[in-house]
Amino acid sequence: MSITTENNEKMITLMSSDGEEFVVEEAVAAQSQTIKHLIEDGCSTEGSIPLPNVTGRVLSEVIQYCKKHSSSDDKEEKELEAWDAEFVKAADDHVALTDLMMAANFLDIKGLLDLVAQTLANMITGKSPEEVRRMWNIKNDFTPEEAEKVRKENQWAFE
Amino acid sequence: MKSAGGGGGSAILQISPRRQPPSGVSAAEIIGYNEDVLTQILIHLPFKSLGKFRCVSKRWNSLITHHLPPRLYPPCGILFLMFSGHNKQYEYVTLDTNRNAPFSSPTLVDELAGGMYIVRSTNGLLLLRNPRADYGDYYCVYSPITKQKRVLPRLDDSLYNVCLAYDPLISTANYKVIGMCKLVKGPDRKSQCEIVIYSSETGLWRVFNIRSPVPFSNRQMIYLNDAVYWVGEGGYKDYRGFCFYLDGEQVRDFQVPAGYFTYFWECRGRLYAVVKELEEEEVVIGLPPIIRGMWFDVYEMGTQYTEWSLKHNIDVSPFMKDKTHYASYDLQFLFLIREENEDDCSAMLNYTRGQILRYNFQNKTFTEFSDNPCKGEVCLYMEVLTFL
Repeated sequence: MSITTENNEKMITLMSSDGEEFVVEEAVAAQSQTIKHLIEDGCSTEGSIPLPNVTGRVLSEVIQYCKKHSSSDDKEEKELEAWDAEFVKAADDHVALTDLMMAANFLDIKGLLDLVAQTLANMITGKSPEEVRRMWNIKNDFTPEEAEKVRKENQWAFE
Repeated sequence: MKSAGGGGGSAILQISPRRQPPSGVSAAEIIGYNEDVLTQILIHLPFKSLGKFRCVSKRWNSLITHHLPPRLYPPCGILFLMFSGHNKQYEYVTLDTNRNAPFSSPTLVDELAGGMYIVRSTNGLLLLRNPRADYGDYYCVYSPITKQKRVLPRLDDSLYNVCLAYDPLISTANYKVIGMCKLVKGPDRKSQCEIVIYSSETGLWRVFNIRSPVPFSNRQMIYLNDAVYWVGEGGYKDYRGFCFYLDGEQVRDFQVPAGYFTYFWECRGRLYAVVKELEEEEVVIGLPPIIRGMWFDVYEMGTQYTEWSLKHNIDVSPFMKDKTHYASYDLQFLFLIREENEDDCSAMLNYTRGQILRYNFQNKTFTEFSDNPCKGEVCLYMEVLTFL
């Protein structure tokens, strides 16, 4: 489905995994390399673009980011940085950030991916391996002997 | 695994079926298992956190150890030998005052307490030597960040020159050590040697198999782009450069800019020849020669490795003005350090009694680099995370 606004901006519709529809300017959506390729391949003419890996809640955040970044030019770099900082702060916790990260990865939006990756990295830098496991529900699959060995090898990092 | 930096458009769509999130599982639960996404986070972590997180799970361990794209930083500091009382110890002086030392000095002192000293420093790895070994030379490769050490098998012959070949962009875990041994005098009265190569992949030394010996040099061999470069022996204005390609193992010679003394250096992937030039006054027998002028010319090798071009010049007369009697060996070239911007370049020089000087090419000034005098070995250190 392709709509044109008064400003002659081409609009497209994105559909989230839970069926929510978002009508956005093509230039905004095309910040996602994945969507850009889908448009180029003619996947948007038949109707809305389905995004089976992204929920409506996450997609609305992603669109917010893309809108901001398509309307700003280089002169506003400082302001944009401040906006980015607020944006990731609003995502609140590591679960929301991880959702955002997965979406940025699937949609291939480099700027957003870097921003969220850096935020998550800052979040875990000072944490212990155990805390990281708990955060992301990772199973410790080392045998006690292996765990001892790898811990010993990396003793330098715990000092 | 794809390198993280690549993040190309098509790569993202190729999420293989096994990495698809199982339905009903939140993204947070699968991140620990998605290597593409995980890599994006890990590349932003400091080295210490990476070492710590090898303990998270087997997958994290393998990803951090073998599959993270290598991070190369410009040289961050200088390590040099000094004496504190009767104790020999290395001091680390940072080049960038905004950055902390990548390792604590005691780390190095522990390692080196057994009488080892640093012979080479290449892209984050150090080659240490123990000269007090009962027989032959005893070398080891050491990563000061992870404190890991690999002892090399002993050799029957002494090495007269040695070079550590390690480039994390070629291989993160493998390195080679190239040594010169078995010196003989060649027909032109210049020394020749045999080349031996240690490879971490085989864990063995072997002799470079060529019919004729290779020209020897006691000047530092430079490792760059999987080749080793050195300036051969020679008299005034009679130097030739030699190159040993590690892949294919051939030796080739080439022209070097002429001068009183020529040094090679490597910086940001380019080969440099630093030529020391002197203007001497008449020599009075029994007295050290009086030098009227001394300068260094810095030449850069072109990317095709065919020609040199003059890049910089260091006029040391202002520094030497008040020092009336000095000999040509009073001022030695140590390193060239270049920032991303080509003009932001400086040279480190070593003056008579171990004073390290930094010369800035842009504002043409000399600054003293360290309060402590250096006694012997000096090396440039670059921070790279390597698991040996």
